[in-house]
Amino acid sequence: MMMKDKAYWILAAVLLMLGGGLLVFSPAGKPDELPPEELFRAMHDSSRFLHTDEVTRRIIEEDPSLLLIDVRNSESFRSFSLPGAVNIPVTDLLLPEWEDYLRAPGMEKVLYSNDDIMAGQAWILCTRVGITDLYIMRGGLNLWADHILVPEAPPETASMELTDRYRFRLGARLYFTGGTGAEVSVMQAEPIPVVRREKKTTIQGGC
Amino acid sequence: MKNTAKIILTLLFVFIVLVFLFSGRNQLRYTLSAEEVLLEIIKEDYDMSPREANEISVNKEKTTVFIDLRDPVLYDNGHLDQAVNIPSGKLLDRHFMKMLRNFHDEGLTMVLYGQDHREAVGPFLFLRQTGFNRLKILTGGYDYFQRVAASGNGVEELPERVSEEPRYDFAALIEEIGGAPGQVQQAIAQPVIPVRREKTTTIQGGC
Repeated sequence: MMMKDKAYWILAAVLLMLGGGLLVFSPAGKPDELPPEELFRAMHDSSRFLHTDEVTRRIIEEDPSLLLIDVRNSESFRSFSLPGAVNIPVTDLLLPEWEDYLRAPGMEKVLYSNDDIMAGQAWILCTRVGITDLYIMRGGLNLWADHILVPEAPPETASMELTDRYRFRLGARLYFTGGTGAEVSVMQAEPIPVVRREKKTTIQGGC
Repeated sequence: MKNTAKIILTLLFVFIVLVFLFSGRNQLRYTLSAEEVLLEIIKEDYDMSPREANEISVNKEKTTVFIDLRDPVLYDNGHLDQAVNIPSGKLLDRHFMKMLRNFHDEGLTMVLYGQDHREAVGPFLFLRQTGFNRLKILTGGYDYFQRVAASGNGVEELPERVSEEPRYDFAALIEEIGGAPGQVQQAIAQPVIPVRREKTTTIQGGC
């Protein structure tokens, strides 16, 4: 009888030790945190980056599922920000008051900063704490300005796609700089690609 | 019979304890809380200048190891002296993880670099929160290191996309463009025409 009791005590002690060990060695993370392996996998998925043109198009189309998050400081945000953006400085990302924005269901949250280094770091942190549908605007505002505010004209040999993209950027530039003649100008340019398409077909037939 | 049961029970516990201990050692887990990661992002004191890296490399300092995060093909084409190639997508491979842990256990400072600066930022932040604390990023990556080396380790202008500095005064730029609608409209009409001409010429040449 005594032997049996002793065995139970040893068993209980070992179980307690194991339990204690679990507590001590358990990951520091919270339950909804993404495990490191999954965070690593997510970091290597290039679809987390959105192109500046894509973001611009969605801003112009007033895409209701787009939520722009400016992670720069409030001073920079006040000076200039993309239309509709919410300012969550990187220092405030973990504050509970921003949870509703960062975890808004059905919204695609797009982080941006001046470049995309800070937005990229913010992305890693937010993804780790379990925020989903999170993207980064590749190149940040610097690249956005390169593309939209001072777009470079494509070379004369450029493909149709590049020319279209350039025209889109010029139209977008008018949208963002507040030019009221934006629509008129874009429409003026409109018939040109149509003519071009016709020409191409004719020549192809000839060959 | 009783003794056999006891032995089996004891062996079982020893086995469980061993499995527990070993799985705990190799399992990847966060060693920093999300708040601590945020502090790491804000601190920004993890850069190593190419000159400093060069000195370490020339003096063959044993306290530092360079981790080349690029593709093996690029690594084979040229890399920092004493650099070890651990492609960023393979950081979690057992072999490479073991290597990193060994460096860590030996107390070495690991200097991460990619082709450009940003390639190292993600891996840095990931490793930083999974148990590695002596990490640095080579400012500007391999490209910039090469440029500085080519200039005899003189002062070289920092490449773009190393910092979060804005390259434009966005608000002023927008005002400038918005204030001159005539110019903008001109810009819209201009580029389309030359592109059209060029395309025609190319097609004719092909026929």
